[in-house]
Amino acid sequence: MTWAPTDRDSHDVDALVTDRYLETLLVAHARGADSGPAPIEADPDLRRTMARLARDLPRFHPSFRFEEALANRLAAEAAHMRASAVDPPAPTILPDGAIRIDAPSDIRLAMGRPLWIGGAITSAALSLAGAAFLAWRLRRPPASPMARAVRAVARARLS
Amino acid sequence: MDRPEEGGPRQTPLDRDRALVEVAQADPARFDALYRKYVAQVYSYAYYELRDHHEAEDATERTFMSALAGLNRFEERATPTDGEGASTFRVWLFQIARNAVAERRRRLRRRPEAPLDAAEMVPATIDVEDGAARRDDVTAALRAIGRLPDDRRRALTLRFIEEMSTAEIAGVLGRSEGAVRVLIHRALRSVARDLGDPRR
Repeated sequence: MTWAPTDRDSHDVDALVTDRYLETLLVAHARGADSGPAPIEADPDLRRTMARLARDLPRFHPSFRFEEALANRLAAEAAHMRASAVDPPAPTILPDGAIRIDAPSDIRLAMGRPLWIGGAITSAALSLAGAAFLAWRLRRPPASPMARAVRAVARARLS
Repeated sequence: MDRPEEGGPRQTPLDRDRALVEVAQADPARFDALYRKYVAQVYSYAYYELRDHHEAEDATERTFMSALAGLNRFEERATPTDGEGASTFRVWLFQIARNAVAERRRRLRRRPEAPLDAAEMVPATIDVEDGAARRDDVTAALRAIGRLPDDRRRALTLRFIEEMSTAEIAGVLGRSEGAVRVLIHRALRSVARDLGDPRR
C-alpha cells in the first residue's frame, strides 16, 4: 500500500517547518544576535518576513501614570479582600427576630445580596445558630410592645 | 490520580510563575509582583487588538482586576511537554485578557469609531532614534498585521510580540497546537505578500 501526502498534510508540514524556524529565530532575537538562525527548509520569503516582523513589530507599554494608578487600585482591592477574609461580617438582629448577615464584599465570596437567616435556614451551622437564637427569644420575657408582637408572630408560625 | 504515561494533564513544578502565584494566593497584597511582570504584555496585546490607548487601558484594568478576584480559582496545569519556561498562569491571564478585549470590541461595535491608522500607532520615539526609513518599516509591518483576519492577527501577535510558545497560544485561543501553527503559517504568507507588494 502506498501513501501520498494530501494538501492538508502538506500545509501541516510547512507550518511545522515554519514554526521550528520561528522558534530558533525568536530565541536568537531575544539573545540580541545580529543574524538569524541557520536557514533550514523554510521558504526564503517567509524567512525574510519573520525576520522583519521580529525586528519591526514594537511592544507597546502603558503610561507610567496608568501603571501606577492600576497598581494602587489592585493594592486597595487586595487589602479589602484580606480584611474581608480576616474579619467575618457581624450578624444584625432585626426587629422581627431574623438574623441578617451581610455578605462580604470579597468578590470570591460575594453573593450579590445579604444572606438571611430566619424562616429559611441555609446550612447546618447556620441552622444551629438560628435554632439557638429562636429558643432564646422564646424564653425571654416580653420587654416591649414590639418584642411581644415578635413573640406572638413566632408562636403563630410554630403552631 | 496522575497517569502521565497516558498523556493526561498532571501538575508539575514546571510553571515558572508558581512561586509568585502561590504567595499571591496566600496573600492578595503580593499580587503586585505578577501584575508588574505582565502589565506591559497584557497592555500591548490589548493595544494590538483594539488600537486605542484608552480602550487598551480599560481592557488591561479589567483583566488584572478579574485575575486578582479569581486568583484562588486558578490551578496550575503545566505538563512536562510545555517545557521549562512555560507559564500556565500567563495562559490563564491572557484568556482573561482575550475575554476583556472581546467585551470591549462588542461595545465598540455598538458604538462605531474610526480605527486608528497604523502610522498613528508607531511610537513617536522611533523618528528621533532611527529615522524616517525605520518608521516606514514599522508602519508597513503594523499595517500588514492590521489587515489580517482576527484569528491570524491574534496568533501572530502572541507569537511575535508576547513571544509565546505554540502550546501557550493554543491554550489562550482554545485551539490545538497544529491549528495554531497553520494559523501562523498562513498569517506569515499573507504578510509576506503584503510587504512584497509595492502597491500597498
